[in-house]
Amino acid sequence: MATVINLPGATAQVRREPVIPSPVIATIIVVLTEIMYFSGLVSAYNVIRAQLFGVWAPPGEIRLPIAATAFNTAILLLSGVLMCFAAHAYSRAESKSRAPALFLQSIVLGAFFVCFQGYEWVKLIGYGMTLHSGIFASVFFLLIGSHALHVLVGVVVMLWCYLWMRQGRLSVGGMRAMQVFWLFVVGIWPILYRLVYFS
Amino acid sequence: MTTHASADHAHSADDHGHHELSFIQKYVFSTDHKVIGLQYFMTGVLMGVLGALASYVFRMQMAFPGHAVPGFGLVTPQIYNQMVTNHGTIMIFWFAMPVLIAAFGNYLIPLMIGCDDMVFPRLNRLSYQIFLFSAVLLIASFFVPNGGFGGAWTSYPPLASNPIYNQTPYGAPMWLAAVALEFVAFLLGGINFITTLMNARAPGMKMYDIPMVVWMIVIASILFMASVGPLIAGAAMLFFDQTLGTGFFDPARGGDPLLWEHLFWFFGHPEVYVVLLPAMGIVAEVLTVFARKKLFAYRTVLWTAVATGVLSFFVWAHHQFVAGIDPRMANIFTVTTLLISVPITEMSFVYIGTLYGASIQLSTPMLFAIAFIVEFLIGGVTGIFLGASGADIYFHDTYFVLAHFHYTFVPIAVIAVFAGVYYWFPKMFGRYMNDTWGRIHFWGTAVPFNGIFIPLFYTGMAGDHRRTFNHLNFPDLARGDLIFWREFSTVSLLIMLAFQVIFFVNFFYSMFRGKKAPANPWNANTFEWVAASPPPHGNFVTLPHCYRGPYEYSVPGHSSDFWPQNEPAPKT
Repeated sequence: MATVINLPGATAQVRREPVIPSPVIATIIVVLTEIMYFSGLVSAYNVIRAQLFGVWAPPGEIRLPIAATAFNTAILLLSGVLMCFAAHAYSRAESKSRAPALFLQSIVLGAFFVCFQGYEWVKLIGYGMTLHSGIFASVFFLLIGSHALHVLVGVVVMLWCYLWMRQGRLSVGGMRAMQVFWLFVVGIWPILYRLVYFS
Repeated sequence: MTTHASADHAHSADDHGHHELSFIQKYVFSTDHKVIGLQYFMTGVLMGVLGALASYVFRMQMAFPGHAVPGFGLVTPQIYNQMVTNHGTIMIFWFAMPVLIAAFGNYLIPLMIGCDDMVFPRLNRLSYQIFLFSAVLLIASFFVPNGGFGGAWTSYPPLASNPIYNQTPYGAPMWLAAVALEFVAFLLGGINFITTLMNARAPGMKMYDIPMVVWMIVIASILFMASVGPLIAGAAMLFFDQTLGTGFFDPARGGDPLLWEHLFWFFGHPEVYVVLLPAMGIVAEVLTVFARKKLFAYRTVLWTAVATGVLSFFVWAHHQFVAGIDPRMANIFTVTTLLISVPITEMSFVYIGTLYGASIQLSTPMLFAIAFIVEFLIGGVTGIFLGASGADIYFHDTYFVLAHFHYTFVPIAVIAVFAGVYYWFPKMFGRYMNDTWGRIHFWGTAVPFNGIFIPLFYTGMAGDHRRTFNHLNFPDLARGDLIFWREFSTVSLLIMLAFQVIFFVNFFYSMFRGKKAPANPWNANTFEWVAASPPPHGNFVTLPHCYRGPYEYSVPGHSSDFWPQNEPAPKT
């Protein structure tokens, strides 16, 4: 019969010091899955574009607002930088008090990005570019919409984390996890912008 | 920590503390990994029974076309397609995956690595709830106007994407939504498995001290996560095609139907290994315990599994040799496909090597474990013919393909699961299952299984097409010998299904009336046998400490023929 070893001071909770906090691992796994999801979308985009043998975007399609979106891209990148500052500040005791303000700025910029994009979409739909108006419009809304959905979810979860942070309930690991997700959302945007808008 | 779940419901029920939970709190809203594992198991088996009944309906139609099926009625082509489609979908997504990965994974991982629960218990509960909802959604799709989806489990467009072709305007999107939700459930589960293994192992448990089944389930979860993204992207496009009328897969509007096949099989082929690896892990545990011998070449098995996983991402287009891909691409995929048989063969040899010179006890779990290796080898060898693009052009979409992949999936999802259930039943319920009835059930499963599928290799080579509703409509296929073998196959299925009744009676009888089992009935080494049978909430009285690898059986010089992982070495 096996014997149970009674270790001095053994407790149920922390039994080994994790190298990476659990929320961060979980978020990294989610992000890897998301990267594969966007890889699928980008492959689909390239396959569909190859169907038309170089005439892409198809003639007669509405031109996308490259300059306005460049401004919006800068906003999103700035939001990512502020997020890094916020997470960095939050993980050190001496600068912890500065974190909420930086975090809030990052959230506001993220929200601005998605609102600006929503405005852009309303204009595009007004010009007659809808999900049904052609394969170019369909893939545009699919790729950019997928990303916008991620920004939207990111902003909502960040607001939630912000409230927790103000109440002192947010762990450093949780903030780092939020940073990993937001950096993914910010980092994948220039790739999509280059792929879809400059075609 | 895990009783948090009951907090929301505690006001209505008049319990006085965390230890007396009502039935609903304990079994419906539990965050305990063992309860969630059993929930996954029961739901998965129930869905498996539905899938088996569907196979009964369409096999009867194959053998006796035009006759009403007893207990069901006349099978129309539409019903036939629905049955075939949902049989495949259910057996893979709602039976093999939940039972092999979610049920065994949830039950075994925290126990085998010596911790009290998963790292994210509430995420775990959410995973099961989403899974249950997806199962209900799939079943509900049968009861909407025009019935359930009938475009095969691979759901190829344009058949799947256009309601005019598939004639199921509601069934098809519901099927797709159910599959997507099921994936979400497994994503949440997989996050838990990987994080738990990384951060919650017992002190002293190093990389090569982790039991093989835990490794296999976690590697399978990683494979699933890495492959499912493109399919979700494809599913989103297919869903828009079905419901909003976009043209992602419609060539007339600039789309590409082959795109779906690539996105689907990029997931679909790793998926084979997602279910294979946990089965391999279960068999490794059972083999070593009943061979009383160390697992031959632990590191080889582990790294072979990793290699299989990596290779499985480069073989998907072998499903599309006749779909219109470039023949030069078919050459490349033939090479990678044949390459992947090397690691799998290696694993089979390693398992046979474990049996060499061992003192084998032919108990019920061991019989199933050995049968797994034997039957899976047949599946693997027939796959060589299909992996070669030249032969596949002739075999494609015949019953040969069907017999081949059933020789892989049935050993995985049925035989290995039975090995695991007979083996871990004493841990789950604190009682033994009846061994005599277990052996009868084994022979009643393994022999008719071969009776079903060996004839189908033959009818497939003779030209029976997988999607044909009635072979008698084709003069070349209405031959006496083919008709005989189709009937032989169906009768074998009936026998196999009848023998499963023995299993269910044995299972539920043993659950309440079986012989009581001690904590470690098989003299096994791994941590789950240190806990009481069944393990209480929190699993261990004192959380164990790991001192050695999981397969130290018959160690020379040790007093007994097993040496549990938690026993420190005697001081010398």
